[in-house]
Amino acid sequence: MENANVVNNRERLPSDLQQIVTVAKYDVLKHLRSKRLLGLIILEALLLGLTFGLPIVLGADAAEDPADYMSAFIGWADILIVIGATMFAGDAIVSEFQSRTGYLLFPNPVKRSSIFIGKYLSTLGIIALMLVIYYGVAALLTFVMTGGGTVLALYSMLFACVYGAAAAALGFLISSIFKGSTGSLVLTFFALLMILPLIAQLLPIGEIKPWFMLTFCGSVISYIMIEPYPVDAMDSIPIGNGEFMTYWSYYPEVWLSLAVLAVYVVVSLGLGMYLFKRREMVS
Amino acid sequence: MDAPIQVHGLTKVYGGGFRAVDALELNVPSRSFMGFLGPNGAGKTTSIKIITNMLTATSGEAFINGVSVMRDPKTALADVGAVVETPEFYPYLTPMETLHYLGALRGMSVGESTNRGRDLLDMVKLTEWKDQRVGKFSKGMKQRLAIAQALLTQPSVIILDEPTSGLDPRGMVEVRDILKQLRKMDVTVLMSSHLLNEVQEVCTDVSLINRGKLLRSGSVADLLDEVKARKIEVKTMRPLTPDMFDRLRSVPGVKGFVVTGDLSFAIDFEGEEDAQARLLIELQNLGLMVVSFKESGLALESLYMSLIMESR
Repeated sequence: MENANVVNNRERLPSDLQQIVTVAKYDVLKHLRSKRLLGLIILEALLLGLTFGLPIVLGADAAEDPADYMSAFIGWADILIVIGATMFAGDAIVSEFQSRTGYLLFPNPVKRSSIFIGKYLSTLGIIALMLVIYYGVAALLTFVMTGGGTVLALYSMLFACVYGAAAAALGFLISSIFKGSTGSLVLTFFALLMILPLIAQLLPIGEIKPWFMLTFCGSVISYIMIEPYPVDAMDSIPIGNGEFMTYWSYYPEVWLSLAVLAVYVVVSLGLGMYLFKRREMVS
Repeated sequence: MDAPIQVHGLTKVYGGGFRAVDALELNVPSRSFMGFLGPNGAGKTTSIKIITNMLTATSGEAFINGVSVMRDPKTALADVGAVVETPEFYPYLTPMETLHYLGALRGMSVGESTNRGRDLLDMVKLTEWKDQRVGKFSKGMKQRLAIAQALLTQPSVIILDEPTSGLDPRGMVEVRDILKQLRKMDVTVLMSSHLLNEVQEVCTDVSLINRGKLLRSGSVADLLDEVKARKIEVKTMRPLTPDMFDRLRSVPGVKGFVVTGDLSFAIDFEGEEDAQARLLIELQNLGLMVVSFKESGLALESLYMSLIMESR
């Protein structure tokens, strides 16, 4: 009688928090063993190498100010975040349904919300790791070339992590809606790379400051390297016959952008989790 | 003792009004191995998915060990091992890592899941693969691993959804061997299948459903007793010739027969064991030189078909 010494499976069930940690731990393992992370690290190496090496090869003058020099590297950070959010969040939820691993995971005594949060935390961890590596190497190269560093790079990295969290949350929301991984990945990528930036570019034409747009807020990553921090200004360009067209140059405010990104995280995750909990495992 | 799995008025209506499960009532007795039988589209998998919290019921309720799956799925599923459809595994994990992961979600330490995992992988004949990533495993290997993970915490309730579906003959035999081992354990098993011989071979109880409704439920032995018509396969040393046909038809209980080969035929027969014994004597008296005389495993099929036909 095999079950004579049966352990009380109910009593030893871990708490929701412990299960979140377990899901996150094994999801991190997935990322660490994936070709996607390797590909992204290779991309980081390429960007760092090109940004560092190309001016040397071309004999161009390099900036002597550490903040200016570092800005060249940081200019690539938002694209890395877009790619990272796409690769690690874009199909995080839908893949459980499409690849049928949900049939293994869902009949276990673990809440869908715990699975969702655990997966999100692992994605967040991997994006943060990716950014720390990138900024770390960039700071090292900056030190090599300028003999100094800047605390602004640290602020930029922290903000990049928050932007990464918001972009990943949006990816999770899209992943909770879509039925297929490809569609989810493509929409996440184009939403972050083209659709949202395009809207943020068009709104100022109507003199609307796009302070609420995710990608506009994300541009703090680069602007934070500028001292003093830029403020909104009206500019004009000549359009002929001595006439000028005036337009506004809008810049995201740091604290407001931080708050907006936090709202993106909360709303996207809340909606995504709601959809994930309601989603049925059908063939 | 209350049935470990109880289903009351379970209904699932999909978009478009398709009623996959229709007020299903089901009780799986403690320590029984219940076959959940029905044709394709009968509602077996939908019912099992609701019981394992993968689908939401339109109405009704399912209880496992007295806990509502709808109200408290985490507690209800704590003592359940399940294999639903053919699950896919995380390709980046090895079988042992998979068991560690699922064990950790259920509160097992790495040491516990390693020890238990070794035994289970041995049982499902995957020991030599325990450190290989699951990505390249065959469907049969994945199905065996799925059964292993279902047994990981020694749950008192095991739910299996067509565990031999899609497997090659060798895979089916291997999984069926594991199912037979389950019969010896102190567990309650609900196993859906449309393979009648499989159910008759391994199950103690059976529930028949069609169009989402329960048609009949009971022990396999009791249900087989209900089947009056039996099919008896006979092999002989001498052929059954036309001049013997009338004499064979006149034997009490014989309802008809079909010649299946030069030296074999099948008899539709109604009667208990004593009547079967008399039939055998008559066949010998015909000079057929009977080599084998056995009731075919299709009795359940007769009941199944008649109930399915009645329900239409």
